[in-house]
Amino acid sequence: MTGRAVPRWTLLGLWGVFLALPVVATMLYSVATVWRGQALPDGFTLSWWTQTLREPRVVEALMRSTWLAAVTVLVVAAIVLPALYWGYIRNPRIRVVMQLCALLPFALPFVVLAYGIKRLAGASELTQPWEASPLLVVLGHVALAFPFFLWPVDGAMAAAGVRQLSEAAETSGASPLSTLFRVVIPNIRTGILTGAILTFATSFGEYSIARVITGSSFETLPVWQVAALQDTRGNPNGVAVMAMFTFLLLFVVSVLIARTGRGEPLRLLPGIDHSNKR
Amino acid sequence: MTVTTREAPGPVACTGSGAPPGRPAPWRWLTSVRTVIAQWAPAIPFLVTAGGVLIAAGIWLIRTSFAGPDGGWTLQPWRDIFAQQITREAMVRSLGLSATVATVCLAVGSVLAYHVSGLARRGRATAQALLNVAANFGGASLAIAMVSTLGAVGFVQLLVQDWFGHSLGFDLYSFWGLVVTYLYFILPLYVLLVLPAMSVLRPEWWEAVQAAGGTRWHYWRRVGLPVLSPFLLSGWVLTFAWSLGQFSVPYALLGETTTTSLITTRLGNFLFSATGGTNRFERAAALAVLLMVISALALVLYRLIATRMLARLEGAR
Repeated sequence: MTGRAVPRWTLLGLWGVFLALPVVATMLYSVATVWRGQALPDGFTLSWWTQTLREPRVVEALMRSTWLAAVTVLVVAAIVLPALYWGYIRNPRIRVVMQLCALLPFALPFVVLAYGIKRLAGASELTQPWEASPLLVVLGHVALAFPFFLWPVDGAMAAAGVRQLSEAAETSGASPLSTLFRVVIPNIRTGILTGAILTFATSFGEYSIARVITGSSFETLPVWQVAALQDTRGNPNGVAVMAMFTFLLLFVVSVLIARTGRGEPLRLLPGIDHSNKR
Repeated sequence: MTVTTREAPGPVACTGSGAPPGRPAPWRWLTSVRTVIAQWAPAIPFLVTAGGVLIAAGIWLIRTSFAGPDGGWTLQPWRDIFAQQITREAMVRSLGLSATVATVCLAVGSVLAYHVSGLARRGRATAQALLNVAANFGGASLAIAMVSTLGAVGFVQLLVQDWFGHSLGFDLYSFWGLVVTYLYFILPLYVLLVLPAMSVLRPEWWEAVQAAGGTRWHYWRRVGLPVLSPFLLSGWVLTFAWSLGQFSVPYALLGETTTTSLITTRLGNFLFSATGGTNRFERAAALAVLLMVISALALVLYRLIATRMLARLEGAR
């Protein structure tokens, strides 16, 4: 196989370079003093990092994005877990419907989804006051990020044999609710953790929902980033700092998932359910 | 195979309040409603939030796209978006961009996925984790990273100028600039999507082809590609739909400019700039519905291919 191993590493190596270059460039921009007309910056400094991370507007945007993502994870967990659990122990059709719903974000591009929710809220007198509110942003994030929670948790529930577990618990006289909290959830902790991390990351980096629904009155980190990038009198190094910050966050998240998700089966394309032979 | 068979949930256990025999008919009707509620109750918050809101939003967008100034029905927004040249060009460009990105993914990504699947277990796990980072590195941050790399004073532009003495002449804000930017995060996504399918290929098949006097070419032509094709095609369809719906990356790069616009950035133009004319919100809805319809068609196609794919998996097992 040595003859075939050379093109393999060349190909993968080239791709690796393509993937690494933008990260390196962003990193360099975030620590460069002056960089004009040469291959490398004139000098290096950490002042962009300290400056940008101290800027009130950036800190506020960061806080907003963080709580938005946290609330999204909580709401997603609260609506997905009971539904999926019931789908396993009582009504398998719930699972089929959920898998179908998880394909909707593919059929409804995020910007379309955002505009749809906004118009829908603006359509009736009752919901009109919320038309541009952060609450609606949370709803939008829940609607687009839940598949990232559903998939790993569904996999974990299948792997843990939730049906048998809850039958055993029921025979011992446990109620469905206490079975869910004391038997099922402890057994699928890894799946929940992976799903929560993925949902958090998705919500944290999402631009269109907050931008379309609230204009720029609810400035999350991505909304700030785009505004700062398009501002010609802005601070390009500060923009690079926050891009690098997001990348590092994403990197940590992926390492966490790789560590928690060890040994879990790979999943096929989204929406393909192996357990249901239709 | 890495794709494990999951425990299939057993037959429906109707343990709701089943109607005891001998009761009068009206009561049976009531108890059957109670059975339905008992079967679906814990899923209601989910169905309302994830399904109901999405579907209602979609339907309402369709209604808005046919709304006249007085609230009546009209085709005007649709006529307007197809009459305006910039918007028409944006549609063509969007479709062309998505098709190009998806095709590059199909051609290059499939080869890359094959090579990644051939790595040892540890290497594959590492590659998957890194690809996951790249696939999620979209949005505003990616736009910034690409500007720092291939923008007018980007790292690579400066590097080429410094080393070779003349400029690279690559325009990040052009069609091909967008293709390169999209490929950064969509190619890893494609590879992650089709990677599990690579395990369908059996080493015995290659041995059998060799025993029959065949070459690598014969193997791929007669065995490998026919087996993989539904998986690769469904990957193409999903990547196409995914590229088409991208908003944050092109909007961050192109902003308010209308020279290189896509369906999604036109939609943004209609929403955010007040100079869009009287029925800009209705036209935005029409564009949104257009995107929705194309994506939904792609998804239906994907489901069709996926069903055949499952049958193939069962056959290969």
